[in-house]
Amino acid sequence: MYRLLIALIISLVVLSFLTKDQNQNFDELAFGIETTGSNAKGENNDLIHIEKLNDFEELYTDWINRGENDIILLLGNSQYHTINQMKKGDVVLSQILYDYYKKDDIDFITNSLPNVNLQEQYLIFEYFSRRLPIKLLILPVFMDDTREDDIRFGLPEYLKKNVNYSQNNSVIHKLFSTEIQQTQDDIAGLKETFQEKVEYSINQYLNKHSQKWSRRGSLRSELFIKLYRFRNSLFGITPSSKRKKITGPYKNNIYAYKLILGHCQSLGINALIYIPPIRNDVEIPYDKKEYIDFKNEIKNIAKMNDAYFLDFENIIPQEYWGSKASTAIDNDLETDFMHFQFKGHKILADTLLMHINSDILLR
Amino acid sequence: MIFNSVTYLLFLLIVTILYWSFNIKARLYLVFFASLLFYAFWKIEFVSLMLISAINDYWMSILITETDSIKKKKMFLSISLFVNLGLLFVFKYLFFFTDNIQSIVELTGFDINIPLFNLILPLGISFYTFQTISYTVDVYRGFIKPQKDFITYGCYVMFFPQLVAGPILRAGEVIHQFLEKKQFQSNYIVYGIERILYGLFLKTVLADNIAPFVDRGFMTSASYLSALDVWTLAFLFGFQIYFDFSAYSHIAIGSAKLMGINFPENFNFPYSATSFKEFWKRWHISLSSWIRDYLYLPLKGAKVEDRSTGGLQIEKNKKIGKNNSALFITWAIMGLWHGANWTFVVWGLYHSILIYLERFFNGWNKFLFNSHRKFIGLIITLPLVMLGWIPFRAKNVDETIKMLLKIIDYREYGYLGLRENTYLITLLMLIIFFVGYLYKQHLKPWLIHSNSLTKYITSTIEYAFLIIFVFIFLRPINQFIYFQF
Repeated sequence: MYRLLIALIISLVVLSFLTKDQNQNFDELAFGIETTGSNAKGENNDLIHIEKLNDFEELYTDWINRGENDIILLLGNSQYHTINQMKKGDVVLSQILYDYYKKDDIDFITNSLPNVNLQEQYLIFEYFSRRLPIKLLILPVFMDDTREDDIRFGLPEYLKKNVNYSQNNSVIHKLFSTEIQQTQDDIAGLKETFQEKVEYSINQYLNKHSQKWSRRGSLRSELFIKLYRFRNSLFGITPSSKRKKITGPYKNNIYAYKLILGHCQSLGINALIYIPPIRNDVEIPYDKKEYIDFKNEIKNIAKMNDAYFLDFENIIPQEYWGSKASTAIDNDLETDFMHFQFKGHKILADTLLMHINSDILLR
Repeated sequence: MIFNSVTYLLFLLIVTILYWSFNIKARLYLVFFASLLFYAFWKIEFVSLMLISAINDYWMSILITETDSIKKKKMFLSISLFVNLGLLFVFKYLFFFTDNIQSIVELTGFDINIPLFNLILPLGISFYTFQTISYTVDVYRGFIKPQKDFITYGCYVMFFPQLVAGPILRAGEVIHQFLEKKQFQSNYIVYGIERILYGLFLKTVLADNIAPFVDRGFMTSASYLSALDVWTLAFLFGFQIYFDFSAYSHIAIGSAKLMGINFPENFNFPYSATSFKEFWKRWHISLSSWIRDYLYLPLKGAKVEDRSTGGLQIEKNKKIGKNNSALFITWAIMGLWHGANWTFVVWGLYHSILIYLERFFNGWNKFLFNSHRKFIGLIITLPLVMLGWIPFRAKNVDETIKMLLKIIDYREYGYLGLRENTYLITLLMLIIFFVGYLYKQHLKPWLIHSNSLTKYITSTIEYAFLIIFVFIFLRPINQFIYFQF
């Protein structure tokens, strides 16, 4: 019994020490210290750039209040809501493009999510297209994001509740069979039981009265971050390490990509597909052959579906990229392949403008 | 009520304090009503179903002893079996049955719509049904006398630590413990807490964190997986289900111990087994023993035992080839017990084939040293047992076949189809299992017996480690896997 009591005291001391500081979370770790999150905003702080569908209704109301303009929709990943080495006055490309098209009574709307895969993009696009008059879809297709295979970001919860799907495809099937996301909920295992209410109340009480208890989520994150860093150090994994194509997720995402383009065709929405910028001063973090095959496949499918295809891989010079904090145990900065500086955003925005305006994409 | 929750820990604390404050009679009432409350925390409407099963066996077992007529004894036993198996059939197998009938009808070209009954599976029905069956059969066999006091009997059937996922107990092992006049001992509490901490660690830190990798892997179409992916998923799910289910047993044993009640062990490092026979003496021991005594041995016409230990013993003196159908029937039923799906039948038959082959080749390695024999046994048994988890976890038989065919196709070994972390986690779990095994079986006993100081330090560090991790990870994000059975 004494051993148990001493162990309890030791545990309390250790937990007090662990719960003392607020530390970084996974998102911060992915961006690194040099990269700052930034979203485009309309006049009067109108919502024109969202990162979760729960914000869609506010975006929709703001769009109505602005006069229900036609829409250019950009679906991107964290490249579109972050700026490397951000300075005062720096904005993301969505802001530049929104401001540009304002005069033409066209709303440039953006939805960007970190590491979002094409299956999620399909579901988001399908939902947006139900609610908004989209004239043009802009979709950067990242090799990195084809390695993701889950339906995340609260999409199952939101879409299952708000949408009746008439079409039947494997992405919608996956959406409805996705249970994994529920594990984010701390008491998902008690769903629809009497215990759910009791457990919830106890948790609320403990969160309110115990700092140690309320910090448990952060402690779990910190532990996983430490494991992640340890793994990276142990195996020498850096952002420059080669990321292999993963067959299953890759094929599922290519299938979703075809669905997006098919949906564009059926609704008469123009589509601008491009290979996004990547650092070209160092070796890319993909198997070269796989990357070339990927680009060709994206291009061929775009062409087959009458979409406009561009390759922006090399348009941003090396000086407009940056680095990110180490993802290993050491503190050395590492190459950031994904997030560029404001000037990179400007170049990409100008390039997009040039292509959109010189072609028939908005007619 | 789910074990990996604060609600359960509070409930257990209150019940334990009251238990040791009461006299024997009051303790029985406390356990009885606490068990009903425990079950009602899941779904109150299903408490009545559990009571129907319990009352049926309570009544039938008394009627069996009150009559001298063999014919009547058999009739009462049949009624008990009919009610128990009937409930199990309706709630667990009716949908499976009607769905299969519908498929057969469609195959024959008829256009008839058979109504499908997809009912909610009452929590723990497979466990408490088997327990009540064993009670009535043991009374019929004369192993035990029926318990006349319904509350005492109810404590045996519905005792909350083992109610929803075992261990499946024999009346002879437990009822007398409820009736003993026990005095409070601090070692009950220490040992009980230790087992509960172990269980919560295995469930919340290991099993629940493996689960997303397993779910993602098995969600991937088999055609996108390589042979190495199939092996990886087999091992990973093998560890998930072991950590998950043995966690439940640890918490059940620990919770009962807090009240001075001893449960038999249900797991004993099964993946360290050096033969398939040994594996089934180490895995879900109470179910294996139940199957042995109430199905396998009666089918073979052999003598049965009155204990829930030992696992699936295979008689040594029976010649191979004699009544092997009993082996295959037993395993098919064992598979089906786990779930109403053909995948479970495939899993059961797979194990019956392994056991059959082991019997057939029995003694082939006698020329080897014992240590070599064990090592070879381990490296044959472990992967084949793990491979058996593929049908158990796969979406359907079609996916199972596709996945298993990958294993035997050398061309499928040249690429990888899962996230890199999946392989790392699997390797990590393999290491954790064997390090845990060596620690518990060899290092810890040595440390404890070397001197009292090392004993003191070892267990204090161990408890502190468990408390910290359980505190951080305790949350009911997932039910226990065996709740669905």
